[in-house]
Amino acid sequence: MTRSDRLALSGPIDAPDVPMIEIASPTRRDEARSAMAVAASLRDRGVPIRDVAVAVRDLDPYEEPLFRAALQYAIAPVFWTQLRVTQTRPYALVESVCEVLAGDAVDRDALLRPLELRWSPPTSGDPLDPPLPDGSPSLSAEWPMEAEAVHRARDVLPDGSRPIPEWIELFDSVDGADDRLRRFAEWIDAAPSPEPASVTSLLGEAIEGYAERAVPETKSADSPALLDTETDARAIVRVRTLVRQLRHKFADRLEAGTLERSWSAVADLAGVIATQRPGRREHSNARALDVFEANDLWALEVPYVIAVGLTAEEWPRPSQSALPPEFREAVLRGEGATGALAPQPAWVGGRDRDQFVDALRAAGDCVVVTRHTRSPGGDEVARSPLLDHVETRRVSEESRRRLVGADRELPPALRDIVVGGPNGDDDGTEGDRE
Amino acid sequence: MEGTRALDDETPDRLSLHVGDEGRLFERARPRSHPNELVVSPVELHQRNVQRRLREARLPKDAFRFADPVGICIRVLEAAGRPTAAVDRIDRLSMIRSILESVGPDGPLGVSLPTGAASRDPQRVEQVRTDVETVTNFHPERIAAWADTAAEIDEPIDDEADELLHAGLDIERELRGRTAKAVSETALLRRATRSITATSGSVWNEAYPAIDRLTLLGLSGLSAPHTDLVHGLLVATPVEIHIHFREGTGEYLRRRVPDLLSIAEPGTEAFE
Repeated sequence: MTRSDRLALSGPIDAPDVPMIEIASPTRRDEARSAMAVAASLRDRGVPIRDVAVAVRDLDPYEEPLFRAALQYAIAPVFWTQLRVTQTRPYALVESVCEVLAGDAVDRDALLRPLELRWSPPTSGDPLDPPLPDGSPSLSAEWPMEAEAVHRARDVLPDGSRPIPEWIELFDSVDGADDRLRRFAEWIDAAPSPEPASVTSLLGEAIEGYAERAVPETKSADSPALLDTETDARAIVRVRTLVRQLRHKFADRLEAGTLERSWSAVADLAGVIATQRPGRREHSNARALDVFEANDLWALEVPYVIAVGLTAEEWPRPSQSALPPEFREAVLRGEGATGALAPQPAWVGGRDRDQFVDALRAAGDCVVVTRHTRSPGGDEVARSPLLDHVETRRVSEESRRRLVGADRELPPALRDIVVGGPNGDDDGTEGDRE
Repeated sequence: MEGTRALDDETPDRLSLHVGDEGRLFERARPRSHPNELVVSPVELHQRNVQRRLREARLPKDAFRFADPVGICIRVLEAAGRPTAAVDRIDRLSMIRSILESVGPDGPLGVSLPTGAASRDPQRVEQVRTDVETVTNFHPERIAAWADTAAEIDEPIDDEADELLHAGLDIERELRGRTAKAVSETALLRRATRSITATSGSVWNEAYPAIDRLTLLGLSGLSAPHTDLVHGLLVATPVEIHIHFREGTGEYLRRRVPDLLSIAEPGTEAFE
């Protein structure tokens, strides 16, 4: 690589013209608390929560600690992340229905699992659930089954595997068995064999039943910011798409002879589809704190950006490539005929560099960068080399403790910015310039 | 921040390269009856971010039509009456798995695989294929350039780089033999590029009659498939193209663009 080209990918960064404050915390969990304490303190001082955004290069290791820390400070975080659909209730419902259908016999817990996940019968023109002769709704009109009712069913039913028709007989003989158990078991018993079209129609019924009758349950139990409802709603959209894809993929696999015609194969295939290219959250929520992956902050403008995870290990992290480093280096240099080959700056962390710059540039008033200094094993975690390109004011450990403490005292460097100037800063222990 | 630099001699007239400076797009926001500018970004959320900025600034979106590169190419191919079905990654991995199984544990059978413990892992084989595709777009001149580049590296890396090239090409060829669809969405980019140049731009004009400008945004790299699509449009259509790189890598990429455009007949593939 010529000197100038190398400089262009690792040289100075034209830092934005806003103050940058750096907070180093001992562990990742402490770091997450520091970041959320900053957001909470800003909010306490009248900064609208939508004027703050958190940017993380890779949310995976941070989502859980940030979420916990946010709850601690009574912040509702919204993660602009790939929805892990396999961890949502609508997906689990589809999976559990496949499992009940998978074998010749099913045990009590597997049988009750879809009901726990709020299975409800198809609503429109349901021939299996007619009104009673006197015109009142049928006994099974209350859907989904309450958690306590499912729990009681587990207590009164025997354990052990049996075919669905035997379960239905058993419901008739057990004193006090909930009528809704029979309704569900009959739906399972009537299920067609797994063909591409029947897979889509049956699982489609399950998901639509959920959308109509279970989502209102989620909503009524949700916090004011309706985060669970939103997760449910997003998951339903994803699972509907997934069920449609299942039809085609199942047909292709059957035709190619690479998959057996069974409900457990359907469940496996659903798992494969669900873990690929997940979708993203659709809309912003003015009452919640936006947490982005850094790439997604591009071109936005937010007064306060909290950039989390500025460690040498995590930001930058060069992209994966099967090509040997010497070859990549030659392609990046691009001398002579090699110049026609498309170089990928991500090989040397270029994409992370872009994301860092764009996260800083999104900030209108101030950037707070956070990092941690210790791994769970106690090893030292180094500061990101990206920070060498910018000037930060480091917050002392003492100030950091006051920040995460009960009073949530803003570090003086940050306080200056919120009140609009350096006046009133009487804390001489603070703000060493880098 | 750094804005648009005057075009250098080697950059075609209708191509402008920017580093950051997306504000120029917002300056062009004005009420119109039809969009005349395609705003293209490979990351879907980036399109939404631009829309959010426009909304917050109370600027009209009328002049813009938002798309991603694959979406544009599908529209062009539909206008050309060409097929647009492509194998997705899930199915591609399962096809690769079955190719690897049919080759057997030791057999060459036309597929050269990179050596090493992970060489039989479908994900790794797919990574090799996409690396070759991203760097060369399977263009004969770039494939030759790869071989030349590999030859100049010290042993044993020279052979390794050469093997990876052939593994990538072989697996792509095998995949083509097993499906009537395009092997990947990226193949649709090549197909559309060829359609545009082969028809002297008439399919483009049919797909996007009112578009006179295309703005490509938020790029942290310029893959060979994207380069060749841009190249094809410059050669065969009157559309004006603006590329906005990002600030951490933009200076570097901007300098590399002329060489990337130096190949002939963009979209050509080294497969019969």
